[in-house]
Amino acid sequence: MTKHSLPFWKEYPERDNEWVRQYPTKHAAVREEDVFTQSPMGVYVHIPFCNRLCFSCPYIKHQTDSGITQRFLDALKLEISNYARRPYIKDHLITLGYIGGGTPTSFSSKQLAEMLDHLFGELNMSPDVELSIETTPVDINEKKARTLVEKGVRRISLGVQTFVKQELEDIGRPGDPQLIMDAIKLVQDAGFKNVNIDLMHGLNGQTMESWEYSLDKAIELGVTCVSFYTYMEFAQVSTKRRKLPPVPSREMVDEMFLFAARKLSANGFAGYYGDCFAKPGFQPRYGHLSWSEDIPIIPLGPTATGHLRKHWYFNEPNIDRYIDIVNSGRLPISMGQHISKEEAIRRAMVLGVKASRVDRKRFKELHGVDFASLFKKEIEDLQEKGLVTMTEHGLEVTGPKGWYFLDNISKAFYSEEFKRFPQHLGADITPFLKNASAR
Amino acid sequence: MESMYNLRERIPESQPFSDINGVRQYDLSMRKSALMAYQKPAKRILELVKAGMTDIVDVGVNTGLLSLYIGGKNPGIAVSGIEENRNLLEVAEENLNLSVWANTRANVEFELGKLNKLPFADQSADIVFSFSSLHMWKRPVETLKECQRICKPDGIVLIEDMNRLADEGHITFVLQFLKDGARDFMTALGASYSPEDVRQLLNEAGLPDWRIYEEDLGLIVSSRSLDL
Repeated sequence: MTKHSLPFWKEYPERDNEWVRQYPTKHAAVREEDVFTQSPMGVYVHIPFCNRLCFSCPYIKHQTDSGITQRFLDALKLEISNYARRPYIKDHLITLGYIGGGTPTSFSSKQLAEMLDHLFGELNMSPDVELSIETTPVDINEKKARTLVEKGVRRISLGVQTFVKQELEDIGRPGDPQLIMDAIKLVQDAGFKNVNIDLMHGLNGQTMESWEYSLDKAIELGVTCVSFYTYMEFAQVSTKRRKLPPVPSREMVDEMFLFAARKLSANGFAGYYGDCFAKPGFQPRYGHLSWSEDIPIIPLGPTATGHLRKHWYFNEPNIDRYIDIVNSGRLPISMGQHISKEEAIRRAMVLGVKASRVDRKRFKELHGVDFASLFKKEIEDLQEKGLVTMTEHGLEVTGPKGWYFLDNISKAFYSEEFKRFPQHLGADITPFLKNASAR
Repeated sequence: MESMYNLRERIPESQPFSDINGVRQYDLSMRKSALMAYQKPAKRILELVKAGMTDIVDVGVNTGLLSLYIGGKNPGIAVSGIEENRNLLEVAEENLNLSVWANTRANVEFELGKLNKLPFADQSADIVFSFSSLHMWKRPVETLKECQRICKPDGIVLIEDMNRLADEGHITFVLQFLKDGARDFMTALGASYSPEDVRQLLNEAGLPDWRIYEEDLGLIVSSRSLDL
């Protein structure tokens, strides 16, 4: 090793004559912008209303009702303002946003404008914020679509489910494929360059041919993202449900997934989060950045989930209680979990693999550890199962098999304490907990 | 690890299902959104049915859903249910009325009676089953003996109920799922037995050979070994 000459100070056993008072050394140029930097942050807004309730949908939602909708919107605005006042939030720039539901476009275009104006007026929204919204083919019209584009929404996602008339009717959706195609055209014409559609596989009476038909339609219509979901049939009790043709076998549903993954890949789509596919440049960054990059998310609206300041949490699910809490001046936080330093590392793996790829260098920058050595055992097991591969750059989920088993892969990184505990379903079970603090 | 819920000690319910409208509400919510709780027990019982069987007894019929299902699948077998809670029996009768009106093929009968003194002859039933009732039995040791008494020598006793000390993750899942019914569920769970409690009851009843299985949220007690 070369011995450096020391210009001024001394090394032991001589007494050093530099009085240490700062660290790290090697100082560089620093500007005001560097000190008062605005770190990126996201918002998730939950609008719990639908104009039409589908019996096949298990999520918590309410029939749109003018009596409660405006009261809810007023509360939502108050919640946004409450967050916006806090110094921690002020130090951040909102670069990501997702408006989900329910059906956010069950709001009128005036209400949508009112909500978006408030969001942009109160929070530090980046001019190029990647903002997505969900809708159905029925609950969108030209006026709403243009309002959304004008107010800064960049991506729209339509719950299509299927382009087959009979399959639509059997899940209780308006059964007109032409209406769906018109709606996709409508949002494209209104200025949405990034359009996602949701498709379902495993529907009553669905065959590989009818599944391919829906996929072909999606490709033909020029949508930029396709997400698919496995249909879950709940207790079949009504005569109407019993008369439906059966759902495809588990094996067929598996095969449908792999078929779609191959077909979309062959048509220029790339997979992400396992069951989502996007054309290059159109993959939304919301999940990737909030999961892999640990960008905090502000949850807004009942049951909305977010993570801020070493906690993930969700909001009060009951809409009336939500409104009351917000009106009382408090944040409507319901339940969640503190994220310790160790669990933050696991969380980055659990959620990071959902973006199909975990970068070793970036992980180290963010969390200070090399995940490859920390989770050596878990990763070797997943490699053996053919679900992931490891390179010097990081971990890669093996497609399409690993995409299909993405949640299995994710759970391999759970800690012992949290294993076998469910994801939250939007219910507040605080009253039943042993150490329920006074609320 | 520290437990999340206060379930270490068993707390019997003093007066379960004491309000008829509450029972109707419970029955409706089970039928509307919790039928899956009945699926595994129903399948297990159906698999035990063999040609030539004539009698099935349901000890603590609850609101009758399981008996009606089993009976509907086996019209040639008489299903007799005994319940000691008047409100539960009334709702079970209402469900039976509707089934009869809807032309059920089931040969099902419900009757009010003490579970520690079942109104059946010795060795008269091919299958003796019970679902979601054990935690309410007033004299469980006596009822267990009664189940044994009325069961044919080549028959089987199958008792299923919740396990108070089930996996907390599982309890959390069900709690979230039930939403409005969550409080009643937790009260019933708190009144349920643990595998150890049941072992003790079986020993007191002189039935040390009976098996105890844990499955999800449930506890399964069987007079013979099961292939689970």
